[in-house]
Amino acid sequence: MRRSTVLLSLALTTSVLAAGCAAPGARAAPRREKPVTDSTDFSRSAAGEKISAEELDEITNAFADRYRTLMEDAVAAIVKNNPDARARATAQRFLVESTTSAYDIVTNGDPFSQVLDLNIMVTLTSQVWIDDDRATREFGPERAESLVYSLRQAREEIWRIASRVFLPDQLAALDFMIASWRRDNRGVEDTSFVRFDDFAEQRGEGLIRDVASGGGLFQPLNQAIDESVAYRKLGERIFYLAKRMPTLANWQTQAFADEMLAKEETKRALANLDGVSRSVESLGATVTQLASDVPKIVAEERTAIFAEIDRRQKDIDSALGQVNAIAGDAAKAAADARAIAEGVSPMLGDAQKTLEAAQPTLDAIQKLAETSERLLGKVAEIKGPPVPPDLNAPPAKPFDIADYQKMLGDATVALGEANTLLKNADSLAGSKSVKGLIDEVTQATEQRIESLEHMVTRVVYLVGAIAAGVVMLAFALLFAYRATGARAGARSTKGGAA
Amino acid sequence: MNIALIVSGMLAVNALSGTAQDGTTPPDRSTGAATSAEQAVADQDAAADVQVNDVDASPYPRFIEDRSIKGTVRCVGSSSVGLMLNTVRTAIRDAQPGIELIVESSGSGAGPKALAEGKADLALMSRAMRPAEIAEIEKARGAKVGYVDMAVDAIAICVNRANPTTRISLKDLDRVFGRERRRGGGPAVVWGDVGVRDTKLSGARIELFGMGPGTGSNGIVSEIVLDGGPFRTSVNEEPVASSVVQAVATDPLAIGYCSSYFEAARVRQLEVEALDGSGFVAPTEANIRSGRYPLARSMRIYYVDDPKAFSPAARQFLRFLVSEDGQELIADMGQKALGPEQAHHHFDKLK
Repeated sequence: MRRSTVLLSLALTTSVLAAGCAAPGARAAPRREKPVTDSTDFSRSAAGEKISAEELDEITNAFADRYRTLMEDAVAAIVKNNPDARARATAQRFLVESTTSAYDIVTNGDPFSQVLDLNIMVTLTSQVWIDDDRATREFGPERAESLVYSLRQAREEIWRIASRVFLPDQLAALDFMIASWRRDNRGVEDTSFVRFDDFAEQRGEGLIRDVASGGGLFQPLNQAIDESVAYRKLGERIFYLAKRMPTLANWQTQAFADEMLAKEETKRALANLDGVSRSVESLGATVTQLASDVPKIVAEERTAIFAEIDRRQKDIDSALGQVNAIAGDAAKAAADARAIAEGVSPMLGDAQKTLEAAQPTLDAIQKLAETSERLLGKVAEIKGPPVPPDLNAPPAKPFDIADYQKMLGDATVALGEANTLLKNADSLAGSKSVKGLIDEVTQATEQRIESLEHMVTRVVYLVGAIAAGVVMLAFALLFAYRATGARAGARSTKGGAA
Repeated sequence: MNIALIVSGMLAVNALSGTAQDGTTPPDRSTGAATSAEQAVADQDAAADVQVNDVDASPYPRFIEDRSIKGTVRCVGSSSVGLMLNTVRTAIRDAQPGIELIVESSGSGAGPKALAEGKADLALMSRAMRPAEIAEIEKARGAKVGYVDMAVDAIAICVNRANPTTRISLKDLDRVFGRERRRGGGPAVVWGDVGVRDTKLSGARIELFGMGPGTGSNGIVSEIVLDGGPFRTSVNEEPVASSVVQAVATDPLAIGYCSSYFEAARVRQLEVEALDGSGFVAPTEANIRSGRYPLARSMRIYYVDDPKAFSPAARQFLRFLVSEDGQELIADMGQKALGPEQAHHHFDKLK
């Protein structure tokens, strides 16, 4: 297992601790950072100044973060308001793979290999997406620009870093080596995890041996301090990656979601297509079936309609009876009201008005009754006498729309009558006179009850007052009796003494 | 790859002839005493080898193995050339087992110095050695300096695919890149100045990209295009050739120069006016080899032409390099091999 893979595993276990540093889902705001190298790098390399392993390690770590920012900005621009689910998924997958690759490289223990692999990875990636024009093919010319810009920027920066490690001729050789790999691997587009080890060994071993052993601008680690530095760097690398792991995990999740979304859309489109096909097939079958079944269906429907009319007639009869009862009750109520009005005219001064108001209600009830009778007459006319179903009868004649024209006209008239009935019933229920009548009766009853209660209260008060008076009189008589008794006793005592 | 087959064919031909072209001891197969059965087998092998040779008949010189030659060849210099030699190293081990190759890629500047000091048998150069460097070696070693070309290359002038330009004259190139414009004419600052018409580019500023001073590309453009004059200060210097290509690929207003080996889908390599003014020439392999393309260059290996300094092993290795086998390897690397005449010319120097 590669050392970087072990580090990745360790980092995963510690990522929970590091979550406070970079919470999952906390997407960094797009920003432009200062490049990790500047123009002084060329002058330093030109002067032959060697770079230490520790310094190079710091630079490559900083570059990995810089690379992540550049790619994140580019992908954010690509996916923003992008309706193409496949393009979004491709961009998100690119972000995850390229960034994970950069972090995988910089957690390698050897800074020289780091810069070499970073250089190869970034250069190949930029060549695939820019030189081979994959960015335009995947995202279109406008959205591709952000990725082209970011990859170009990253490539310039990593070559600046490389120029601090390699001499110009060595840089040219490295460039040639990468170009040769591309020629040998035409069509390979997933280059994020191509490493120097994947190159033909004989082409690069001299270059590596020369530069890694100090033949270029790289100052190898002193063997005496190599072990202690390696252990310290190991710990640093674990925490370095652990801090970034939540973000990577978040992107990985997003990439997975985007890919699923893209697949789901495809599935849905296929499902819709199947649905349309099924609908067309179903429609065709229905039309065929209908053509053969129409006469039978019409006969069955006719029987069902008359059965329904029979059932409805019972309901209508019941409703008519209720209406008649209401009408009777209403007449009785009117008579009662009239009696009340006559009997309690002093107390109900406007009974006459109530009686007058009830008259339209009575008219409406009468009209309702007449309408109901007409409707029943129509139904009976349409239906004719009920005929029990004959199981031995020959099949009904084929459907003929002319047979239903008259029935349709009669049914329309019946429907109009039914509407009138409903309107009259509504009119009755909402009639002002009925409401007024009910209110008057209620009011009269309440007044009578109130009057009775008042009378009872007065009697109770009167009886109470009389009782109180009797009690007081009794007490007065008792007091007078005692006083008289006491005075009589005193006189007898004085008389005895004398 | 049919290198082994070709080599075995050559060995067979050599065995049949019974002589070695350079006078060294012929391979064992042709001189050993053989039984009639062995001879029959040998005859069949030879017949088959001859047939292979006939099928693979090549205009390039044939490498002949000489197992009596043994030794180590130290190569110091250009990393680009050194990288190619690293690829060749495995093949030379098969073709000539007695030769061991050591390649130190330290830059073209290190080659002459190592050769002068006797620390190298061969100096690897991606450019021609300067007269001063040659003089220093000859002074130090007391012998002339010789060289062979192992491959050819060219400097391509490239523009963005969105740019309608397809060809450019040397004079216009000088007006674009040169500060002094020794070929005459005024400075070309916008694309309209070099003939681009009727597009939105015509009024747009030309963005310049190239390699830094000291590189082979820079030297060739300066020497041939600018007539030895200096570059404009506005040229954006890129660290490597593929960076130049990508800079042009990302900028529709850009023009750049770099090795024709580096290509991109978003970049077009321009036809350049021939030195004799006979027309415009594309940087194709044929035009580069023939010399019609004006910005060609050679990958060159220098040696001290003295029997004491120039070991048989080094000589044999160079023979292999310019032979059919070596040139096939170079072509497989995507590099431009020598033409047959060039190859014979250099092969003959090594006799």
